[in-house]
Amino acid sequence: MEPIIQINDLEFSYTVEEDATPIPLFQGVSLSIEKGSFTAILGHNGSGKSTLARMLNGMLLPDGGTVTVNGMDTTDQDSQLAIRKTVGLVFQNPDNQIVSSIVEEDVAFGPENLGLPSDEIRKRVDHALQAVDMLSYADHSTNRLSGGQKQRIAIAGVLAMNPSCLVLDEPTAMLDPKGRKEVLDTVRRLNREQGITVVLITHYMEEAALADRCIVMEHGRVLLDGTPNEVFAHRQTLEQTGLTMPAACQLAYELQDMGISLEPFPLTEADCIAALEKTLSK
Amino acid sequence: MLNDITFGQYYPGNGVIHKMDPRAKILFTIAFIVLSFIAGNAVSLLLVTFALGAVILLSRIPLKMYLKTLKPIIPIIILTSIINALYVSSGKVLVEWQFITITSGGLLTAVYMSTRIALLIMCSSMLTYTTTPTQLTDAIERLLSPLKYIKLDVHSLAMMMTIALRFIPTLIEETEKIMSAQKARGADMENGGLLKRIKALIPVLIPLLISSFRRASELADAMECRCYHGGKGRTRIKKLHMGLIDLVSLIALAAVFVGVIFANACLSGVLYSLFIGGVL
Ligand SMILES: Nc1ncnc2c1ncn2[C@@H]1O[C@H](COP(=O)(O)OP(=O)(O)OP(=O)(O)O)[C@@H](O)[C@H]1O
Ligand SMILES: [Mg+2]
Repeated sequence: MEPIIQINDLEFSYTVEEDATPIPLFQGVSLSIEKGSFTAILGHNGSGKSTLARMLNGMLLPDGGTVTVNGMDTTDQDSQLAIRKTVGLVFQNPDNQIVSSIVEEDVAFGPENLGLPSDEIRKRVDHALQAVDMLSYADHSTNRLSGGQKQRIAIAGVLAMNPSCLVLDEPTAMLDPKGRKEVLDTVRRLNREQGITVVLITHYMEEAALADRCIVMEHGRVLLDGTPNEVFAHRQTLEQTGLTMPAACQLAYELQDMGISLEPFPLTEADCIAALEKTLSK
Repeated sequence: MLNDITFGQYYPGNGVIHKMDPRAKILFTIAFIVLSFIAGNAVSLLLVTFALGAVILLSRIPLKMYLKTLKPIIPIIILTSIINALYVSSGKVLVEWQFITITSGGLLTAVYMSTRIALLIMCSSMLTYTTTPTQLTDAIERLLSPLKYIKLDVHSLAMMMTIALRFIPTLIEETEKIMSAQKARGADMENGGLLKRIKALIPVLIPLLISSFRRASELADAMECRCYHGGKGRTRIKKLHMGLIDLVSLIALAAVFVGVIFANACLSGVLYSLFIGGVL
């Protein structure tokens, strides 16, 4: 598989005040995100996840090293629009990403900025709304929607630009369990059915367990990187960084401590139930 | 309390008024309001009222929605009525008590004024009910576009209006949240003199201001991520297009206009003698 996003020796520091010494965050991070993959990024508050997300579409530019999207360097001014079109960013607070008062007009905002003809915008808006299952809300007011619906509109707004990659920075953090499920299901469907590359930043281990790949960050470094199975196998490291495991893993580890091992090692609730039944029936 | 504000809310629909070009709607609304103030007697004012009634019917929005917008301005109507009734003196004297004199002409002016204010409010809510905020700001952008030549950034102005309209409900909701939070901490917002109540608002307004700045910065980021780079080269999902409906409404409006002028000129003398001189 070829990478869609390639990060090489990324260096970055925040300058809080003028003249103050910059606070280094990334000191040589290298990563590559493969086309069509579903990557979850985990990490404690302040570990640099949001900063990394903003690096991926050129909202922030590296101090050293390179970030390339489909071969385009994010520091290249001329490719800026093409990069933002390729990598769509969805933020945490759905309220602060919606520009218009009417659903379809908001979703049209991106394509309108790209200068597309009206009928093409119409097509894309309908398509994007369909993809997030909100087509019947096209002429509704954006203010009257639930959090999960608003976040799906925000996703549709990015989808309407036809991105190949979707980066979501804690899109479910402000939602109730129902809204979280709506958004997560939508994102997974987009990844599976439309082949859109997904980078999901999250605090919820259960969400990370659904990804193909998990990256755990700490203090601007990549601490762990691998499939959810591989990452959650590092029980000690995870516990030291203060990340809680998915409830299913937690249970499996505690059973392991008591001498009962579940096979195969469960990551999700459903797997856990299956594994428990299997173990119990023995 | 803050939830009463219905003015400025789009009401989804598919009627002819919804389909009109927003530019035409804005211009017609202005013309209509001017017309209701030109209308100088009962007949011409009735004509304007009927015309608005027809538009309200065509808009396929329940009358209830229009009447709702009148509620908050009832005090204004009452106040202007009282002032008009007291200060305009013409026609027969109806009541004379100490320094108060109410004349038939004053009463009539009061009724006319109230009708005009009601027409003005209903007419503008018709505009905002049938036009989405984006269409509205788009139309304003286009109508004001000649101002580009005097170096006015019309696009930014329109974008600011879109965002303002989008965030008004959000900020109202947030204000209510903060108010409840402060009340839960023992803040007293309802009692005391004016100064005390204004002071009680400070702990509401400061968090609101801070959060608005945060929102603004997040929104700017989100807009930039969606390739926003000013008005240059931007297209719109709905092209503004003047069509048959707009032409027909222009003709209808012209007819009402002529009717009002005619009624004003021919009838005012007759009516005046009839109502004020004779009957009353
Ligand atoms: N605009 C900024 N100016 C200065 N420092 C910043 C800025 N944004 C973030 N930082 C700092 O950079 C570090 C990484 O922040 P970042 O927001 O990327 O973390 P995060 O992993 O997204 O955290 P969270 O889980 O809270 O969202 C933090 O120490 C933070 O204080
Ligand atoms: Mg963050």
